[in-house]
Amino acid sequence: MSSHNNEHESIPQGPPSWKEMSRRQFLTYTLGGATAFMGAGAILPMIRFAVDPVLHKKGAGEFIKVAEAAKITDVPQEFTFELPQQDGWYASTATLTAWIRKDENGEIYALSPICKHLGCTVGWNNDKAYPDEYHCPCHGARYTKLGKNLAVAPKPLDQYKTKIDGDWVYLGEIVPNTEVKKEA
Amino acid sequence: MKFSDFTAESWFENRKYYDTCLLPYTGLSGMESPPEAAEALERLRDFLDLVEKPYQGRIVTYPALQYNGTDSTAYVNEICRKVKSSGFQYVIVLSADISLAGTGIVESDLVLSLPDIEASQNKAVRSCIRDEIEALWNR
Ligand code: FES
Repeated sequence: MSSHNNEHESIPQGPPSWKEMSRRQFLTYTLGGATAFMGAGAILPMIRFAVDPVLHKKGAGEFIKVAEAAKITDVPQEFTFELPQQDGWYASTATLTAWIRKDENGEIYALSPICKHLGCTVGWNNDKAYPDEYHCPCHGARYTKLGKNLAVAPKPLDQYKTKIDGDWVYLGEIVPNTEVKKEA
Repeated sequence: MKFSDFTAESWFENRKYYDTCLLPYTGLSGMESPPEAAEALERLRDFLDLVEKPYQGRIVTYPALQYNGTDSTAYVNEICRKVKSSGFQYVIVLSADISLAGTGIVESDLVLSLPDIEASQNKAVRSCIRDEIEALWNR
């Protein structure tokens, strides 16, 4: 649940500390789920949350320094970074991944590797049968380097808001893909 | 996804995509103090994260098997067998604390044991897990 984006309408009073939530979370499976249902009965996640952007509200407007602009090429490269986030009432640090490249006009963009089918993590060029594409190991979704969905997934890969400042690439919240349209 | 993330409807609708069951095996002996037991669960959770997150659209994590005792192997095998008869094509048994190599858990399709991975691989744990799971699906 921690990596999902649950939009809770009402935040319960007196948010539990990180530690309490983390313990409750692992009790979800260690004790068979009863404690988690009692604690979070009102916010049972639905399956579609798996494919929604991770960052939401609280993360909006914040940018994290992720990569040196000079290192970005036209071949997508994987970068991981840490982001403090608020998932509902639960504060934690999320480890996020972005695939960053620059297009023919030298513009840098960063895709989120979370598959738009059911949320597995895609990789670049990881299926020999389909070179130079993103491929999902779970049910075979494929995407172009712009993130355009070619098979299985209903939508293009999301992307991060991107800002270049000095020599650095900064990434912000995850938003729906705009690169695919640019090309069309 | 964890078993508790599904409702009856969402499971009915999506079960065809979830063909792999992950059985966490804590391996407690019963001799642990409360904080030691909590630490074991936290190690298990951290190791589980490496498997659950990248494959959340295909793997379902089931409630953990907590204790390790004389007949554990037979017990784990029995659970694996039943899980598969309920419709999962693959079962993965995972432990952060106990070595599962050569323990005779023959009914699972893959065992992922952190002590075994650390002992035998120079690769990062994350990429080792990826190689093992994707090889299982492509076999
Ligand atoms: S989750 Fe990626 S193809 Fe199903």
